[in-house]
Amino acid sequence: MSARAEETRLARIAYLRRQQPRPWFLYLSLLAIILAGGWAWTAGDLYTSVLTASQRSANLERFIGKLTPAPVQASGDWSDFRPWAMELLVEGEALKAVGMTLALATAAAALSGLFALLFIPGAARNLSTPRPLGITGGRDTFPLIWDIINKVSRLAFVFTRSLPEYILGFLLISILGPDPWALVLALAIHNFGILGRLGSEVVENAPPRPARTVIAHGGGRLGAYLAAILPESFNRMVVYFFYRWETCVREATVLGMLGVISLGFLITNAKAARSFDQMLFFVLLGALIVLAGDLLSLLVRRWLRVER
Amino acid sequence: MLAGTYRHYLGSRRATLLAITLCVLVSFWLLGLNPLRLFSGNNLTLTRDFLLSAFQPALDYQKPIEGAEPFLLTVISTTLLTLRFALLAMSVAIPCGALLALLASTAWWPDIRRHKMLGWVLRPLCLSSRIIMAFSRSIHELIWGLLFITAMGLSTDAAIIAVAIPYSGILAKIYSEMFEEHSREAQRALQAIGAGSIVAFLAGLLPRALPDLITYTFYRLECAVRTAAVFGFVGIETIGYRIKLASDEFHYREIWTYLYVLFAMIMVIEWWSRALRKRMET
Repeated sequence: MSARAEETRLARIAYLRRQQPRPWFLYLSLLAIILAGGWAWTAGDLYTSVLTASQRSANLERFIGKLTPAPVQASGDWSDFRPWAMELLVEGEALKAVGMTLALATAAAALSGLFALLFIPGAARNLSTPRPLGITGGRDTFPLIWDIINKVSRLAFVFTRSLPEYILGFLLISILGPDPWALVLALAIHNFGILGRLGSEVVENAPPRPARTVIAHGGGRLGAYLAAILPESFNRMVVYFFYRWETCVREATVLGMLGVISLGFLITNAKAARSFDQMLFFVLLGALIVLAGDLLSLLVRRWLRVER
Repeated sequence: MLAGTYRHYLGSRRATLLAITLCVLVSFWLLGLNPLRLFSGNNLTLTRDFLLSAFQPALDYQKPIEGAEPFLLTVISTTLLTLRFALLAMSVAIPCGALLALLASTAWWPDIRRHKMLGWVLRPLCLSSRIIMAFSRSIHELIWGLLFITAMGLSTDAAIIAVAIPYSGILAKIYSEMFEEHSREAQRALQAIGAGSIVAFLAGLLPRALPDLITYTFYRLECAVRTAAVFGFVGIETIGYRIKLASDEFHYREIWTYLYVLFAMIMVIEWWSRALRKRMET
């Protein structure tokens, strides 16, 4: 290769180098994340434990020793497990708690979905504007109202989403007393924000033609939403509903810890009574329900043929 | 992200709606949910008091405490502790989740029809990591926490691990789905010109999936902040702990201060995630 060809080759490489994008924001973000991680690890303990190492290992030993079901431990025979488990399920109200957990999740998911559907057209950027779907609206006396509706419903979604179910449940129980309503509403409020956001994204990405036709023929925004967009994106909405139902099942097992009967309630009770064998049984039962819920939701989503 | 064809009519939309409605009615009946009960007793007055406090979040203790740290300082240190907890849990969960996801995904595999031996190693690895994923995720982080606390007592490590276990499972599940979903064109092109399967994965598939991976990781960080707040109820002095204390005294305005702080943290994370994504896509 001649020296000249080599020179142009190097010049070209240097040119490409110069053209390379320099995403400063990404670099700074990476730096910030590394610094934050370093700070988190070096800034000391989250909780100063008063237990010594020997107390800790004694605790652990006692816990593990009590994990095998009591009758099995007494007889050393795993055939005693079945009657023990059946008794817990029927007389120990575990089956009832399972039913309650599923019912909590279903009621909450439905309520949040219903209310989200009401707010979604307001939060969708393509509907809640003076020019819905790019079509100039009629005689709006106060076009700014659409932007206000849009901002307010989006804010409602983000705010409710930022509140954790467990804290909501705690606050609602302190207001409503130990009532299943408190847990249902806690789950519903948080999921209202999530379903609302997902749903408004679905509306924004829906094919605009049918909705435009409705508006061009004199229909309003609500008409377009109900008659064109909702039927069009029905499957996707149902998929999101099941996806949230699945997470509701997971949360509902835990919310019982606040004192309303569901699996979490039985788990805390067993812990308080130091029956660690029962505690483990209820925990594993909870895991089983969550897995079953995941599977059901997966099957429904497959059936609807939309991937999340 | 949403790929694939979908049917618009699943037999009948009406049937689906009807089935869901039926399940919902049965659930309401099982739980004994009577809407009238919501308006009974002093529920309405308490709710009104609580909601009205939203307009005047506390900037100082509602009932001054002698010799206590100023309220706003407590708010700041609680916020930082919550954030730190979330960061600690995520910094354990992300590498574990990524490793599990790689093991569970077939996207980077060499052609196992040609390398039979490798197949015998990879398949059981893949299966076992999927089982670990499903199991760790099916137990809620609070229950992991409760188990650790009963077993060994509360400590920093126990709290971090309790959150990191289910979070690794969830991250791994979503990461591996993202590896499988993204288009393989670039990866195949690299393989066609002689790149090894791992290089083709790293250079062909990973960059494509990266924006989605980062967006989801930020969403999980958001969840981790919420979880950290909730862990206040088991004894770590995060936002949940302060809310619990304030609620015991019926100091609703203090509660709202903490709820707004939580909201602000989530907003900042979401803004950051959106800003990153926008810059990665252009």
